[in-house]
Amino acid sequence: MRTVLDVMNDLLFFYYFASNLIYLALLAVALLSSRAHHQHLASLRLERMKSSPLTPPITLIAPAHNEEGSIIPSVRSLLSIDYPELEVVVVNDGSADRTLARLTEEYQLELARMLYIPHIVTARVRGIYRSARDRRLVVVDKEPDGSKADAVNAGLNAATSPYTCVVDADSMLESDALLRIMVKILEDPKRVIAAGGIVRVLNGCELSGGRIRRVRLPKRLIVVIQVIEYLRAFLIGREAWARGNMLTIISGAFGIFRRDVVLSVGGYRAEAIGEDFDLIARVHRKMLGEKRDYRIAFVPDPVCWTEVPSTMKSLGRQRARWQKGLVDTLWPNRDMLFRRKYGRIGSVAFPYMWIFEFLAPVLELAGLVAIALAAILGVLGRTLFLEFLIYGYLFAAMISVGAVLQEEVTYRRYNDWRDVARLILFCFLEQFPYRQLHLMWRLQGMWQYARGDVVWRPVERVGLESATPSTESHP
Amino acid sequence: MAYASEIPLLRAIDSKAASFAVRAIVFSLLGILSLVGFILARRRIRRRYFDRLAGAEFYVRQHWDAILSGQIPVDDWRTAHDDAEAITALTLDRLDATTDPIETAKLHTFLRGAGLLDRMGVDARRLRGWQREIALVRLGRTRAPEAVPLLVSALDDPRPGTQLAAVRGLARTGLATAAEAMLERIVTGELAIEATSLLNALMICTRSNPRVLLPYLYVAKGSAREVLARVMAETASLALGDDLLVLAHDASPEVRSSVARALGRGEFGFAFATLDTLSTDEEWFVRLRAVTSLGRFREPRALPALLRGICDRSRHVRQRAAEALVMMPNSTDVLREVLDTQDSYALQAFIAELDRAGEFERLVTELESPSGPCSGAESSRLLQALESGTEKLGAMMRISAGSKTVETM
Repeated sequence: MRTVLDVMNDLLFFYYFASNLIYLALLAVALLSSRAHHQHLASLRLERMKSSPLTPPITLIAPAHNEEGSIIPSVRSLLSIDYPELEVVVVNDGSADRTLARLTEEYQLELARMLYIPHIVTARVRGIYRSARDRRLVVVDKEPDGSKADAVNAGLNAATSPYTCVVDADSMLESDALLRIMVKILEDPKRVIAAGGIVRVLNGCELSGGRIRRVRLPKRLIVVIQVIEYLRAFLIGREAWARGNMLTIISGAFGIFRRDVVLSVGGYRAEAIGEDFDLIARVHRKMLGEKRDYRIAFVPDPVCWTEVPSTMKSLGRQRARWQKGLVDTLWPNRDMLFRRKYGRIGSVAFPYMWIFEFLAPVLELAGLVAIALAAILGVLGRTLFLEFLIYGYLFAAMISVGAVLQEEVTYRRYNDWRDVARLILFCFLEQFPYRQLHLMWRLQGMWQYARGDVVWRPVERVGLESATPSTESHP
Repeated sequence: MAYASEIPLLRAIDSKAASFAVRAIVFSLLGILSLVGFILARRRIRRRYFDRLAGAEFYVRQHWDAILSGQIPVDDWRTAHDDAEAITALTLDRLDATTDPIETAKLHTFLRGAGLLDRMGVDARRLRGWQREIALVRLGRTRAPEAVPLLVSALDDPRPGTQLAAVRGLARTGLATAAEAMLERIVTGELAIEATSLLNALMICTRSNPRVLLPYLYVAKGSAREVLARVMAETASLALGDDLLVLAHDASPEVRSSVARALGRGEFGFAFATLDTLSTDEEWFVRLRAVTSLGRFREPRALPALLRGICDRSRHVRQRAAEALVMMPNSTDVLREVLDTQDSYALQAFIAELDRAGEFERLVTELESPSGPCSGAESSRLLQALESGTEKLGAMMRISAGSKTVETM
């Protein structure tokens, strides 16, 4: 028993040490990378891009399922985005509420006579409408299929632009978000096939007329912790992985793709649990398989604000679902692991996802049990046990403070010093007991997936203007 | 695995685990303290800096005329960093805003006389990294001819970021001499041509004299040639004259496509005949550009080519032709012509475009009106055609399986 525990402790120590080193490396790369991007922006003039005839048209696709509370401010916000050639396709995914009715009343929808070519097979489209008030707005009304992916696919079929940007209907893009996200694409239009922007937490912000009037930190502890998580995921994780062209996910809440590339992989997989991660995995597979020179970029300054769950129950559901989405994509793509033709994705990014994302909850739980047992049995000195726990706690807090620093030296959305102080404070509170709860939710997700329970459960949100359940997205 | 404790490295770690853990705690603690300290210190320093700068800006704005006219001597503010920064920023803002040559000349005189242009030049030469990038763009904003050589020298910098900043700076000057320097490097392959910024810069700098492009376009090869042709398409003017006619028969479809695009921009005497020829090109994107350009003229003589376009085998060409046809005067006649093609896809493309442009209802009302442009029987025929076309569009939308058959239409 002692030998087993000894070996387990050593292995888990190595695992933990390796993960810390990786996080530290990611933090360092992200700090350098976003600093470079931030400085690069200083010599950029967005108004030039806006007036250039070379700036391509974009179709915004917003799937909406039972969004009657938030659909009008969302669409208003999408139509007010500052971009020269914009088309907005809202896909009403079989809403049982008045989502379509509200859109019809507000935007005077009329049945559109348009060529709808179903490049991707979707659930039946009941009708396509165009707004008489703003011809840029197209609404696709389709029967429900139970997946956001199917709705996005219908939007892709209806889109007419070479680039499509998928946004959640309950999210809010900043007015210059599309111009900013196009910066990386326009710098290398032949190679950059997709780009993701940052998703930030809307809860707590002061809104007015479908726009953010003032960025504030939410009051609820559970939401502030998610702010830190989002900062860490985007400003450290995405930024660093994208630097090495190893980005494996573009958030379903805000990402731009070359439409032909998405169509060439058959669009989003309707039965995928994490459709955003799944799409990127299939894009990598196709591009690398065909030996194409391509890049998937992350642009940290175009911002999409999204509402995150504000109750434990909703958050738990969301995180369990994310874990299911992770395994649902990793497993079918396991043949990409360590295959030469899949380059860094197969040899670095996917192994990382397997070991440090998918297996993390299992190993973390095993680690906690092994260390506790070892401490009880005297294999591990109690002082060392305590020291190890303190180290784990402090190191994780340091990485989170690193994310706050990253935010501070680059984009500084939280201007009030009290908000920054709270963010730093919550970096310490996040490690206990939230981290342990998170571990449980992820294990729950794995268990549900193993049992074949992949039923989508709505995540309750308050909505931009009123309470409404809505779709969710991976950060 | 059971023998892992026999691995020397593991054993060594095990024996030193305690001291390692303590060191790791100290490291993490120091890390946190440094990060928090940095955040707090940076906030404080930035606040003080911006307060100072705001004060300087306020002073400069209050005394702008006196500074510009030299009533306040340069020596009073040149060595005061914040004042000089504020004055430079304000001068550049004014230069950005003005199109008046007299005002521009006045501001240039001030920049030169106060030594600000020299200082910006020194910055653009001596600074490194991102600071140099910012200095280069700032130098370009002056639109002073003497800025061009300095910016051109930065084009030869090995750092792509510096090259890009130099391109942006040259774009800001908008001068033809700046274009020539970029063109030379594109043709010789010294300048990477992927960035859209480069295309934008060339467009801006060649707009006043697009002929500057031609010698380079004739000698350029491969993708460089395509890029230059694309620039020409956006800047073409009557000055290009017969050269466009020659390039319309170029072997490269990208060049032919750019010529088609260019011909839609100006009143070239040979535009119709050339575009008519290009609308039958073997490459679909050349035909697409040709019908788009023909549509811009909104003249009946473009009708035959546009009707050919709406029956094209490429869906994209059909769509653009439909877009152009909807913009033509006398929609009833155009509808009749479209019907005469007896191509149901052409009719559907036309209806879809009418709807997108918000013209469908207007046309129906016009046809239904007793004082409409055609007789009762004829208007019934046209209305019926619109109705059946709309029905077919609806039926197509309902197809959610077997998409391949629809795609090949």
